Amino acid sequence: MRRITTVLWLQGMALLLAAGQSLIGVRTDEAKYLLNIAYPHPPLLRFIMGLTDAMPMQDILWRVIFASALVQAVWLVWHLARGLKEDQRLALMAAWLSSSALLLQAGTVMLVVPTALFALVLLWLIICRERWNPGGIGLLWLGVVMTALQSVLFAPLVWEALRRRGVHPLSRITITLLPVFVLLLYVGTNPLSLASIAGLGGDAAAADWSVRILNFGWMWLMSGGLIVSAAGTFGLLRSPQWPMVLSATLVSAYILVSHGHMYYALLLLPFFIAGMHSAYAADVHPMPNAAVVGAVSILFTLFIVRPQPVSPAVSVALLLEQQGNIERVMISGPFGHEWQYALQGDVRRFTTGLLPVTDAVICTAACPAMQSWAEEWETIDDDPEVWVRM
Amino acid sequence: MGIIRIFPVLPTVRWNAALYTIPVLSLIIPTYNEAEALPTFIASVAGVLKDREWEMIVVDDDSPDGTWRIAGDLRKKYPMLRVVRRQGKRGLSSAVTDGFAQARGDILAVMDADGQHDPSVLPKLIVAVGDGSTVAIASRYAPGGSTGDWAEHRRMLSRWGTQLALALVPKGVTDPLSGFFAIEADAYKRIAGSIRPEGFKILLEVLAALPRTALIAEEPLQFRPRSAGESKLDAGVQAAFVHQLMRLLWKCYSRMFSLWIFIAACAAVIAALVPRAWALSPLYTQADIRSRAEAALRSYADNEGLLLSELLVETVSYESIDVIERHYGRGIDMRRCLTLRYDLSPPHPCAE
Repeated sequence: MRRITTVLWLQGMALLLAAGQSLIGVRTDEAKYLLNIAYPHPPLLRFIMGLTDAMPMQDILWRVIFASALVQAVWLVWHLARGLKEDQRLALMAAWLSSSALLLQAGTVMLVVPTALFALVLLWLIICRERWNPGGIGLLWLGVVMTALQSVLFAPLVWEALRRRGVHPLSRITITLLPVFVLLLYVGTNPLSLASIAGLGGDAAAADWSVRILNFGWMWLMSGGLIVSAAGTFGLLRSPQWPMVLSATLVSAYILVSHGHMYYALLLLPFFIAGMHSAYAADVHPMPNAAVVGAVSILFTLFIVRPQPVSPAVSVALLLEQQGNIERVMISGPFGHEWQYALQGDVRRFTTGLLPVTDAVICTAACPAMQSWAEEWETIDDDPEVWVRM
Repeated sequence: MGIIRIFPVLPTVRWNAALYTIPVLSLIIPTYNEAEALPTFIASVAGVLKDREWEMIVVDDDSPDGTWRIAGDLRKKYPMLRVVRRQGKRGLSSAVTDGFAQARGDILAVMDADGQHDPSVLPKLIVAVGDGSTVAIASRYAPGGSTGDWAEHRRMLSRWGTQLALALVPKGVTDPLSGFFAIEADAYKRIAGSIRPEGFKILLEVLAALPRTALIAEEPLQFRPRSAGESKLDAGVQAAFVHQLMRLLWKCYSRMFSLWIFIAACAAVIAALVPRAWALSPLYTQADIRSRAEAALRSYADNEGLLLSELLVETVSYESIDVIERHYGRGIDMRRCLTLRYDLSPPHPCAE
């Protein structure tokens, strides 16, 4: 009964976090997955999500699913900590639930969520010496690798989970590397993915190293909410478990050299939990208790949280819906996939040749070209400019 | 979760096997309503083990006939006797594992108290384990053994069950369902965590958990009629055995089964991707085709106001590329195949 009550409270927390994220609206990356747009990530999860795109509250559904999975994953942390004292177990649970990365990412529809959960499952398999079938581990690994590109960073954890299961070295190599080969083959057959990776790599290469290091440092802080980051890193570096350290290093290197989106901070959280577990298990002092962990992490999160810019896509979509009979919309200026998500009908880039067959034009940047069509078009909004046929 | 009362209450101390020249035996006797048979049974066991260091742990499931009380009274005569009275817990296999958990010997053995197991086989089992076998089984089906005067249907059921169980156990075992066996204590400790004590067939659980290369010895057992009490073999016990068998078969073969499913899944994905990779290969191997394809794509995208993500390249040739034009939107599933020529002539639908 007590456990059911706790599950319900946690679910309430997940729903609250999902509701908070839904106020910001669908982001461009979220739209990519919700609409099953074919880059940059492999297709498994986005295909499943794309099957629901006709549902009226599709984004809400997936926000709740992702938030629930992330929050209820605390039971894995609880089970992982079963060899520790009660107060240490509570501290680990508090570390997971109160971390800035979880509080700021739970409820988003980003693939970093299932990727981080996969890392937690692997760490749980390793620490608890759970007796999963090697084939089962392989299938899970294949599934995650075909969901998100960053999951390859956890290959050392897969190797270690198989080693602890007593799998023959040849089988270990096969199970660890075969999905990676499948992923490489997929990326090779998707020029969009390759182009996207190359493009992001180019942007990242242009960034200054001092900016990258600052960015990484900020993400390191955000991941655990200061105290969990510090305690987790301390425990991880003391830990003799080289696969965890190697995988955490790969993730850190990836964050350092890549475009460094803030949501990557979630990828470090499972490692910090494992690091804290290692420190508690070795009875290292001083380590924080649950109250300190929770208080510091939540205060840190409140300190750093900022209002997120809301895309005007939803408000413009509502405006156009009121107009009625809008079948084709053109957008002039840069725009993200959230516009394709929000708008009904066919969405195109602005091309003067298509004006005669377009019903509305949205200008995300100034579009003086529309002034020359003012006799046939009128503006119904000015931030951004929205033109409709008269 | 039941209550376990242990008589006497002793600290858990491992006997130092190095002090003894012969292995120390812990004999576990699970009982339920065996008050009548128990005194005779203990006397016969004490007779065959008189030259050995041994302890007997009677694990009683709170028998209504007071078996646990009888056993407690017998401690005056047999100081090596210990009694575990379990309240709220039933089951032969769990009684044995609870007894093993209390045992202090280097060799652990199990037998029934109802007189069906001949105690004279016990020293042979101890010698077999002492000589290097991991497990020694008193087998009804080894040469020289027998099931006694069982009814034909019971004999058949036992045979069928045995044949099914043989798929789970190391080679050379003839009676994996025997309730009379001995095991090296260290070997048991290594597998104790993976054993689920359900039903009656604890030996089957033990053998399924051991490596296939474990050394198993067998001694023939002439199964005897009950000296007293009633049989516990009913439909519920048989159902529990079937469930145990299914569970162990899954545990044994799922590892291989899941591995093959994994390989099949990878092979299926590779088989789906390789033709596509071949169709796109000129894009990666020939720079001029790559640049012309890109130009054709961008030209079409600019003319139609499309994002490049809405054009998925399917095949590449020396004169054109086939693309799937796909429009993204909620509830929209518009897609068509077009051939874009490098000379930027108007696109046309893909050839079949």
